[in-house]
Amino acid sequence: MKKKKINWGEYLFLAVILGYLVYYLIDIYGSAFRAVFWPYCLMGVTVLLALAVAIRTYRKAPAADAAEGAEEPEQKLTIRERVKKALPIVWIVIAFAAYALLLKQLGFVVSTLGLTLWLSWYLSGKHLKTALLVSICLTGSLYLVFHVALGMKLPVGKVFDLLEKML
Amino acid sequence: MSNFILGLQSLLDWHIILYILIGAVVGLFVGAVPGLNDTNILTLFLSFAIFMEPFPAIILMTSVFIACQTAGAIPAILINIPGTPSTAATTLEGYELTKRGMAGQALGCSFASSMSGSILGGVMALLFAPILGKYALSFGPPEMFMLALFGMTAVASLTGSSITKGLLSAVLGLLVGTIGTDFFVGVTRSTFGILELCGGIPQVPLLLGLFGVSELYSLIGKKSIVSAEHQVSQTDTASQWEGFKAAFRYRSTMLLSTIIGFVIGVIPGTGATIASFTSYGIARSKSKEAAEFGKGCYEGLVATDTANNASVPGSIVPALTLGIPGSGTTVLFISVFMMHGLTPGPSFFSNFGAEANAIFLTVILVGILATLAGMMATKYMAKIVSLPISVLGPVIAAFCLLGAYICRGKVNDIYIMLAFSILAFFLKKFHYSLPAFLLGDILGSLIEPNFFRSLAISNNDYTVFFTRPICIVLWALIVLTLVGPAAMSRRNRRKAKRQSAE
Repeated sequence: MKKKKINWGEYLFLAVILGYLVYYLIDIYGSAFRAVFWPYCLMGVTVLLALAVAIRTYRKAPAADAAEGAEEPEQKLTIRERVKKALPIVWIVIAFAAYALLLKQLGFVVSTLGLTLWLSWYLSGKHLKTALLVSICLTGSLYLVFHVALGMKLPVGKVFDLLEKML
Repeated sequence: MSNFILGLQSLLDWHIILYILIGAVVGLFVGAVPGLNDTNILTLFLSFAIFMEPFPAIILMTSVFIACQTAGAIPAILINIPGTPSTAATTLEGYELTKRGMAGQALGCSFASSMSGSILGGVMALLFAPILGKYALSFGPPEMFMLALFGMTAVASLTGSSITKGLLSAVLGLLVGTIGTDFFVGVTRSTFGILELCGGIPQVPLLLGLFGVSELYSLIGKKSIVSAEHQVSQTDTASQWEGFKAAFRYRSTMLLSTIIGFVIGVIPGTGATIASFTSYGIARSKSKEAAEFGKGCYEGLVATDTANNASVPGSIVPALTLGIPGSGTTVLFISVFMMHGLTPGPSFFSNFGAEANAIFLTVILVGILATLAGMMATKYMAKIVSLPISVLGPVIAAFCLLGAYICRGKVNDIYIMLAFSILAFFLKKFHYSLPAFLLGDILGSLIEPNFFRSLAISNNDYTVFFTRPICIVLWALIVLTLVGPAAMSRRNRRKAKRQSAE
């Protein structure tokens, strides 16, 4: 049998799904029948389908020697290069999480200004002028539309409350 | 007939016309902004509605409602973010067309279908409202369960390259739909101890994560959405017209989708989202160009956008005739009536026939108005696509974050959105179907409770799903949609063989 070029990422993804199922199973194990019947059915089907996908992926994987030559360069990336490629996404996730953390503390205006300023600066290849323009226009118009025109409650920021008390 | 004329007459009052115009403009705006949708904007409107007369208020709400469905397609087509949850299906074909540099044609086609959906749906409502109201009442839990199963057959047309992967993503969607407190015993399922998840996964953060933020991840590497060689073909009026006319090549799809959209709209608990996905699935299974679906074809776009607009008059029908809301937004309609001491119900049509007709006429009128206004406005809106990523990225990010937060004012909703964006990233990376996942999540909330409710009604007798007349019809439809395409392609192959033999 020929050796196959295997895309481990796909199997890892399936493994994560199965891992989640284990969590789900532990979470609801022993509850009343009506609460668990449908999730149990779905879990069973998920396991079967995950197996089917795994087998199919293995069968369809190109042979190792063919992959060496013809495959796109993406396949040959070293781990460091892969990390480098995924880095922007990781940064965005971190930035969004930070936004969520700071939203109540700093208020809508400051945190949105900060996030859009960073994101625009990062995506434009570090042009500070563009970034400033984009973030100020965007934050300003969002604030005008949602807060002033529609009267929705946007978080003001606990920091400002504190400042006000101190002054 | 006299009611019809009276209804028309009441619309010609100048301040009613003003309300319709305001409603159309507000609706267009709200629909085009992801994160704002008809339900949450009309909830805000309730505080004004107390001070208005009931019928002008309802007319205004109707025009916001229908204009929203029309405009929701704009961001769905241009940046792959559904403007309202119900336009999620529009992204399937619309965004594919944009990627091919045909944003103008896609918008034109979408507007044409939205318009005909509203007009035909409005006409159907005028004709059938009194009759259909009665049938909506005979939709019990077994029928709802069967309807959800029928909706699941649309997965077959959403699977993309691999059937097993498509099915797996649909089942994952169903599984995500079970998260939260269960309906019968009150067990919290897979909530990770997060309070916000007890009521189930909130739909808006889920949508924004699946389609908005995950799009941002795949945009990072590019300069703008459309690659450089496609930039020339922009959304000028000529290309919109081209799409507009192209939509009318699929008149039979249009009519069928209107009927599907309208009927699904009438059924309580379903709505525009399910209507457009189901219509897409059916259009694909009966299309001659089924292979083109998913690669950016007009027919798919016609199917989704017509059904989504036609479901609006559909969902208003049971709200007026039975007092049962067909969708989230029509709950608000009923509450406006209630605030003024009117109870919608079977006697409503005999007492307020003229007003009911006026509401459906508004649907038709706004359908036309919103289309015209939308076509004029998209000239500017379509510039969005050619914006550099350093501008577009922050815009998408800010809308997603604000949209996730503002619906319920919960910071945890942002984390939920992030979690689903990461899931969507991997689903996309390994070629799983995102729409199938979404469909599973939406229908999951119908399948489980209605299955057990049906069993409760019938004393655990499983034949309840096979003996009721509407159930039998739905079974037949399921078999048809699953077997039909296979049989058709077999026949075509045989025909081709015979021709090559001759």
